[in-house]
Amino acid sequence: MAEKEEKKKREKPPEGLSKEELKEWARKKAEERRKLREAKKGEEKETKEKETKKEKKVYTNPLADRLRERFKEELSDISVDDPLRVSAFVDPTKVKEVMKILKEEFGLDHLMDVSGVDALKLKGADPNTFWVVYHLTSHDNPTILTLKAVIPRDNPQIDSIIDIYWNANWYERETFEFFGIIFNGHPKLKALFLSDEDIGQWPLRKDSPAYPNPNNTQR
Amino acid sequence: MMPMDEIKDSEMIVHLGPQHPILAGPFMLDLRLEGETVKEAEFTLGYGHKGVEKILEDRMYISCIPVTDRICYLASLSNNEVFCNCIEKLLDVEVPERAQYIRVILMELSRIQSHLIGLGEFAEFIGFMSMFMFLVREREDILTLLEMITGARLTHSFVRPGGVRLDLPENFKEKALKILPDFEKRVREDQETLESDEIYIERTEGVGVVPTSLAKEVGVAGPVLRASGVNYDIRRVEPTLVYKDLDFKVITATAGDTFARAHCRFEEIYESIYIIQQCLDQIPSGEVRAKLPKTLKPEGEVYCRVEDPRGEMAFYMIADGSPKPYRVRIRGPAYATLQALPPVLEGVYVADVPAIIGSMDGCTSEVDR
Repeated sequence: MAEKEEKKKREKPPEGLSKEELKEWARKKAEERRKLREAKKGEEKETKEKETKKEKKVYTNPLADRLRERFKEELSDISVDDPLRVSAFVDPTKVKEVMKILKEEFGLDHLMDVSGVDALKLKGADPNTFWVVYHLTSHDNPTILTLKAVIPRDNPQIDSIIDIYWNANWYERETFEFFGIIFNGHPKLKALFLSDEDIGQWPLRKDSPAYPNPNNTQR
Repeated sequence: MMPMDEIKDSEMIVHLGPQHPILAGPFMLDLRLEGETVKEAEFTLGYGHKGVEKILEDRMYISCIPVTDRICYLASLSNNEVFCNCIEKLLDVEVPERAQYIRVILMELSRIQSHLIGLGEFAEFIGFMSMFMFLVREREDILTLLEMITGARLTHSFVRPGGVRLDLPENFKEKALKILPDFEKRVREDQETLESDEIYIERTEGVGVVPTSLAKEVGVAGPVLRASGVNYDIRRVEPTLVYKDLDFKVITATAGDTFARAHCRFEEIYESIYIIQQCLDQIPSGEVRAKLPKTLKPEGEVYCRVEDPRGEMAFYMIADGSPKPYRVRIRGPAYATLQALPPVLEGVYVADVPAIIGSMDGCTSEVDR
C-alpha cells in the first residue's frame, strides 16, 4: 500500500522539455528516491541491532556456579543459555570421573539422553570431530545440564558410563550404530535398531549420502 | 538373540514376537525360562525403524511437522508441540495466548485418547476383551472432538511454529462441554467394572513391582514413574504454554505394581478433562498464530521437553541458520520405559509377562523411530 501511495505522490515532470532533458530529470529523481530508501533501511537495521543487543540477557543458575568451583580442569565453557539450561564441554578422557561426581555430589540422578553430533558441516566447530552429548537432570530439580565431549573423527572412542548410569546402555548402543563411536567398557556394544549387515554405513554421519545407502547393491 | 550355548539343560528360551498379540508393536522379546520363572529377558528391536532423525535433517522446518507426527501416532500432537517449541525458542517468538490454550486443549485430548487405547490394550492382554471394546467406544467421542479442531483423526499436523493452523470451530465449546461430563461418567463406570473384578485384581496387584529406587535408576517415564511414587510431571516441573495458570493434580501412587499403573492412567484421564474444562472457560479471544517469515532460519542450540501421554518427550535441536535443521535428536519416553523392562521381568511368571508389558504402555513406533 505504501508504495502505491508513493507512486501517486510522484511529481509530474515540468512541461516543455525535450526527450533527453526528460530522461535526465527522471534519472535524478530515481537517484533521490534510491538514497531515501537506503537511508530508511540503514535506520531499520540500526534499530534492529539495538533490539537484539538488548534481548541478549545474562542468566544465572546456581548449578553453573557450583560446577565452576568444583571442576576447574575437567569442564570448560560453562554457560547458562536459559534459566533452566546449563551447558559445558567436558574432557573426553575424564567423562567417567565427572559423571560419578555429578551423580553422587550434585544429585543429578536422571540421565535423559546420550546422543552423537557430527560436526563435519557445523559452523564454528572443528570439522574433524564428533560430539557425544549427555543430558543430565534430576528428579527434584528442573535444571538440565548438557555436557559435550569432543572426540576426534579418525579415532572416535570414549569411555562408557554404563557403570554409573544404568540406562546409558541403549543410548550408547544407538550412538554406536548410527555414528560409529566406540564406547570402551560397554558390555554389549552391537546394533540395536539396524541389522548387523548395516553396521559400517554409519547413517547419521553427515557424509553418509542417503538412508538406506543406494550404493550398497548387496541387499 | 540369546546365545544358545550358554543355556543350561533345565532352561529354555521362548521367543515372543516380532508379531504377537500381546506386543504393542513389532519387537522381539526373548525370555530365558527355568520352569515358569523368567530368568532373563532380552529385546530385539528395529522392525519399525524409519530413520526419522535423518529424514528431519533433509527437510525445511515446516515440512518436518508431518514427519514428527509419524514418530508415534498416538502422541502426534505432543510431538508437533515439542518440535514447534524448539523453533519458537530459537526464534524467540511468543505464541499468542489463544493459541496456547488451543494447544493445551489438543495435548490433553490426545493424552485422553492415548490412555484409553493403552488401557484397552492392557485389558485385552490380560484377557478382558470386552473392556477393550468399551474403552475404544468411549475414545470415539474424543476423536470426534479432535477431528472437529484439526480435521484429522490420527496424524494431525496441526501445530505450527508460533501458534496453530486454525482457530477453534464455532460451536466447539458447547459441544465439548456437552460431551465431556457424559464421557467422564462412562469412563468411571468402565473403571469400576475393571477394578472391582476379582480376577483382574488377582492378576495385577503385586505383579511387576517397580520400587521407587529402581524406577529412578532405570529412568522410566510418565505414569509408570508416577505409579512408583515419584512426583515428576513436566507440566509441573517445567511448565510450558499456560500450564502455570491451570489447576491440576499430579497423580501418583505408591504401590508401583501393574494395578497402580493402570489406576494412574484412569485418574489422569479425569484430570485432563478438568484441564480442558478450565481452558474452555478461560480461553481469551484473539490471534492464533504469530507472524513469522515464510522461510524459517533459526540458529542456535536448544533442548525442549513436554509431557507426552507416556512421559517426558524431548527434542535436542541444533540449527545452523539454514532453512533445514542441522541435527534433531528425539528422546522418547517409551524408549526409556521399554529399556527398563528386562530388570522388571526378572523373576516373574511367564503368565504375568503380558500384564506387565501392557501396563508399561509401550509404543514401538516411537522406540524405533
